[in-house]
Parts: sequence; C-alpha cells; structure tokens
Amino acid sequence: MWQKKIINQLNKLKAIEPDKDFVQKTRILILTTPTLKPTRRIWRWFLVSAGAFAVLLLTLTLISNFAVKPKISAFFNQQDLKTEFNNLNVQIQLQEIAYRQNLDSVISLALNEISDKQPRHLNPMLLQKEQASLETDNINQQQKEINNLLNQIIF
Amino acid sequence: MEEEKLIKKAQNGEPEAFGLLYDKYVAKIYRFVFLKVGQRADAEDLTQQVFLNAWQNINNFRWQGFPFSSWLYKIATNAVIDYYRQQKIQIDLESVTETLTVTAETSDFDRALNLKNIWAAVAKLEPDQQNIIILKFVEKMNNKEIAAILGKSEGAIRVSQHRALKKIKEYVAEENNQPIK
Repeated sequence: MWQKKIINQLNKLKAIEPDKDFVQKTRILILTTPTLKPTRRIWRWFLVSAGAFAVLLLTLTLISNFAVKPKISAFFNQQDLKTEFNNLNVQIQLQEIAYRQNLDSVISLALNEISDKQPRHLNPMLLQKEQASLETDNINQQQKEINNLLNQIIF
Repeated sequence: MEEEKLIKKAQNGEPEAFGLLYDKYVAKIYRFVFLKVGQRADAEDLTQQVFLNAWQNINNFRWQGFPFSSWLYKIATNAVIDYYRQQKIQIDLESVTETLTVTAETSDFDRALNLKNIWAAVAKLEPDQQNIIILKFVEKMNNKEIAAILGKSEGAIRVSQHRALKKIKEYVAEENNQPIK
C-alpha cells in the first residue's frame, strides 16, 4: 500500500516541463552548431587503421620468429652436427676413391697413346680442315692490312 | 518517421532530422536533469549541453535496439555527475515542488506537501538509486532500458528499485514521526 502511495506521488513529477522559450532558443542554437568535422573523423580512422596495422605486423613478426626458432635450434643441435660430420667424411672418401679410379684410367690411356707409333694424328681430313683454317687466317690478315692502309689514307 | 531513419539522416548531416529527435526528447531530458539538480537555470544549461553534445557526436551513436533516449540519458547522467563534481550544490527541494505546483496547477496543499516529503527522501538516496526512481516511476521506463542506460543488469535494477522505495518510506516516516501504512 505504502509503495503505491509513493509511486503515485512520484508520477506527478511527470508534470515538470521546460520553458517553451528555452526549448525554442536551444533548438535553434543546437541546429546551427556544426557537428564534428569530417577531417577529425578521418584522422581518427587513420589512427585506428595504423594501430591495427601495427598490431598485425607485430603478430606476424612474433609468429615468424616462433616458426623459425626450432630450425635454428635444430641447426645447432650437437647430435645432428655429429651425424652430419660423419656422413660428410664417408662421402669425401667415396669421392676420392672415384677420382683416383678415374685418374688411373686417364693415365693408362695417355701411356697407350704415347706407346702407339702409328701416325693417327696425320689423318687427311684433319689436315684439310687445318689448312682451310690457316687460309682463312691469312685472308683475315690481308684484309686487316688493307683496312689499315685505307684508314691511313682517309685520315 | 522511424527513429532509426531520423538518426541516419542526422548522421548524414541533416539538422532537421536531429531537430525532430530534439522535439521528442527535450522535455524528458530536462525533467530528468531538473529532478537531479533542482535548479531551473542549471537544468536548462545542462539540457542544452546534453543535446549539443549529442548533436556534435551523433556519428558516434550506434543503433543497438534501444531508443535514442537511452543514449541521451547516458549523456545526461554524465553531465549531472560533472555538475556535482564541479559545484557541489544540494538539490533545492522548494524549487522542485514549487515548479510542480505552478506547472501542474495543483492546489491541494496536502498533496504538494506529501510530494515534498517524498522528494526530500529521494534527494537523500544514492545517485544511482535516484536515477532508477526517476527513470522507473517518473519516466515509466522498463528495467531493460534503465539497465542499458546505467550499465547494470536488469536484476541489479530490480533490487536497487526495491531498496530505494524502502528507503524513501523510512526517510518519510522519520521526517513525519509516523510510519506510512
């Protein structure tokens, strides 16, 4: 019951109203005032974007660092290094053996060539080719001399 | 025209759209502020400040399903807090009840006196409880809207409202040396 009495009394406060003249004057004043300038909004938008970009960049950097770190640690892992070193030694030895075998066959071929007394290098085809190249060399030499003489005459 | 459309137009820089929103809510905001500060001149200044602030920051308003008035009441609540922080002025009870007598044309002295006592009790409440009493029993808002304005849960509003009414009863009884039945 007492609650109803209080609420009924409070309801009467709804009758409070502002002065009409005040309402009119304030309306005119407010509506002739400009809102926040667009440049300020653009600046705020720019700051927010820059902040978001910085956060994104930081996140990407952290992620990339985290992804690369295990590789680096694996690179410096002593056990892995030892295994790699041992494998490297074996590979070097195998390569050396292969090289020596190849060297032996080259030496034996060279010795055979020297011991061979037949003049295989006097093949007529080869000689003709050589002569042809010599002739072209001569022609080139002559042309050069002519060119030099002409240059001397002209200049 | 729908309120949401008016807000969008106002956000697009149409002052007349904001003017219509102003016409709709100026009396409510004035009343709320006046009941909080108890001075006509201060209430007018604060009301003007609230609407000016709302108009200048209209682009920050985001529609969240509550009436535009919720946003205005939030601005008004902050304005009143700043007002008390700066001036430390007590509510002038005479001014509140005199204004009511003139505006509502109430001739019954006993009723005005009762209201004066009740308002004296309301003035003793915590600021949040005062807000709830005004928004609930003067402006007849529902708990959901009040909760959105004051940033509290509906349950908290219900509890505060109950406690506030009980306190009003106690203060009035103390003042008159007799319990209200």
